[in-house]
Amino acid sequence: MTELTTSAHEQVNILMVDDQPGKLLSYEAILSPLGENLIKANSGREALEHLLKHDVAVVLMDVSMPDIDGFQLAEMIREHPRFRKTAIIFISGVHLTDTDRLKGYERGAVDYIAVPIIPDLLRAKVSVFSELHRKNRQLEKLNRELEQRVAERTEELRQSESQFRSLANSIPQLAWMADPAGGVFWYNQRWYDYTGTTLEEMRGWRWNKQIHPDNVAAVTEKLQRCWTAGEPWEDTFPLKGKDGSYRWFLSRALPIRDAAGNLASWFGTNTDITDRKQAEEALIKSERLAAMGRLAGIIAHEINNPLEAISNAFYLLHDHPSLDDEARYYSRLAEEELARITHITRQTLSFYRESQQPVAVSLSEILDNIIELQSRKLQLNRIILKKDFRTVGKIQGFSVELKQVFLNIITNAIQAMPDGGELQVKLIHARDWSSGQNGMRVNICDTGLGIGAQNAKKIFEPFFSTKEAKGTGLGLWISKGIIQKYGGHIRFRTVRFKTGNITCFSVFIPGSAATQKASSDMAAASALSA
Amino acid sequence: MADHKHVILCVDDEDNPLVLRKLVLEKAGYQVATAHSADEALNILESRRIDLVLSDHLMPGVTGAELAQEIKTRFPAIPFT
Repeated sequence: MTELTTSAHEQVNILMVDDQPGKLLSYEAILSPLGENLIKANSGREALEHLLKHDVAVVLMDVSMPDIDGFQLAEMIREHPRFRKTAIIFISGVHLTDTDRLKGYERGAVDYIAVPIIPDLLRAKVSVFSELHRKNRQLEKLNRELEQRVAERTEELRQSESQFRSLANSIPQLAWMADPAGGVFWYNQRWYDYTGTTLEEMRGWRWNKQIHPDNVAAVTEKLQRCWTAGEPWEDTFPLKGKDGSYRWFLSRALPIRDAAGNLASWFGTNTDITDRKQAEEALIKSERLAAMGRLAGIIAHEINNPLEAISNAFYLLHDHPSLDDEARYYSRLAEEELARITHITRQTLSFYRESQQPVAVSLSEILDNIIELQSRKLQLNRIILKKDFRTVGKIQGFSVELKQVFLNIITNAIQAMPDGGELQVKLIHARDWSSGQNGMRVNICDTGLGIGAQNAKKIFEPFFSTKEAKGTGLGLWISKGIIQKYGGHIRFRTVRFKTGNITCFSVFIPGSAATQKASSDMAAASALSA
Repeated sequence: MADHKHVILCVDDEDNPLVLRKLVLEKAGYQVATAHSADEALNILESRRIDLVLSDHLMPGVTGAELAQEIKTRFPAIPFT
């Protein structure tokens, strides 16, 4: 508003045109109290020159002038686009008929003043037009400022829009915007990257073809309920990716309201929670396994005790002098079957027994145990076993963990040879060339499918499995963790030949002379407390 | 193999396994003493010569492991399994 007040005091130019200097002087005398800038011109030509140089608010001119008369001058002024709105007041010495006046108006006059001039009247008229001009000029200025402001706002908007877009594209979520009715009109780049679709394919409600068919109905129903109520929406369901597979997403939408509180649009995100879901499931699974382990421990004890008692009873029975041959035969059969039960409970239930402290374990024993467990599978898959143990492989550790590691690798090797092959299990004393440590090395090689380069980097990652529904994708990840705890490492490689592949997993477990000694001490101690 | 002078102390809170274990060991030529609890076992150990203790692990009250610890400190010469 300060600008307006300043400009209110701004002088405007008043151009007075008359061929008689005396008249110009008298106009000047009349108009000077207005405080505007008065410009005098003695001819039409001079008047035009002034007009071009100055911004003129009012032209005051005599109708009759020698070179160009008032009407002609007015016509010339009006032709110029800049002066189309300039006020022209004619002063006429002779009486003007209405026809004359009309002619004047047609040429662009805005008013007439007849002589003899009444000073107050002239001043009043000029003052009105001056004021009008000043107002116009202010308006124009305001207009320009407004336009400037609009341009700035537009630029700001464009910038904030582009900031929004880069933000929306940098977040890990898929994001989208929908109109109040729920029709989606914008997606971020991640949406397109994940779904492999275009805006045209997805516009409006068409995106719901990305929802898993089993979930479409429930999702749509809930979403529509929130849309109608204008309430935030949240749901969890699988969305189809461009490769056709589904991943689980946590989807949310928030209503965006305008200043008046009306629903303007919806902003939504989809967060990929597949890994989280899998981790939760794996946790539940491992908790279940741990519970099973505890249960198995209790059962092992509860079963093994009576089993021992029964075995003892039959042992006493089978040489008993009161038994005849037939009874002795039955007793022997019972004893044999009992031996089978004992063997099976030892095999399975001992698996879950947990030691509290590392004890001396023998890798060869562990490997033999696993091979025995897998012997049926080896036979079924027509796999030839080549065993090469150059040492007993005594180390300090937990046999349950180590069993898990080697069972994992051997099971993988067997599964990689559905059509038969050769499984090589080698146990040797070794020195690790990278650390210079002494220890044990177990090499497990198969002639199976091999591990492709694209999977090679991922096989030790959690939840990575090439076995689809069959594998948890945790086996090698856990194995790697276990071996790392021993200060060792697992490595593997596939070598491709014309005749087939050989894939070797090599597990190194360090065991210095000191720990070897410690392990034998531990073994002696544990013999007393088992 | 079996020295007739060797005495084994069997410890188990359950009766049947304890009796059967005793019978089998006696058949093998050992002399066998029995106890139903760790406390009873310690009393026997105080009162007579025992060459070997054979104990159950999970027992109400003092467990096998605790009994082993106790025997190791009080009777270091006796093997325990």
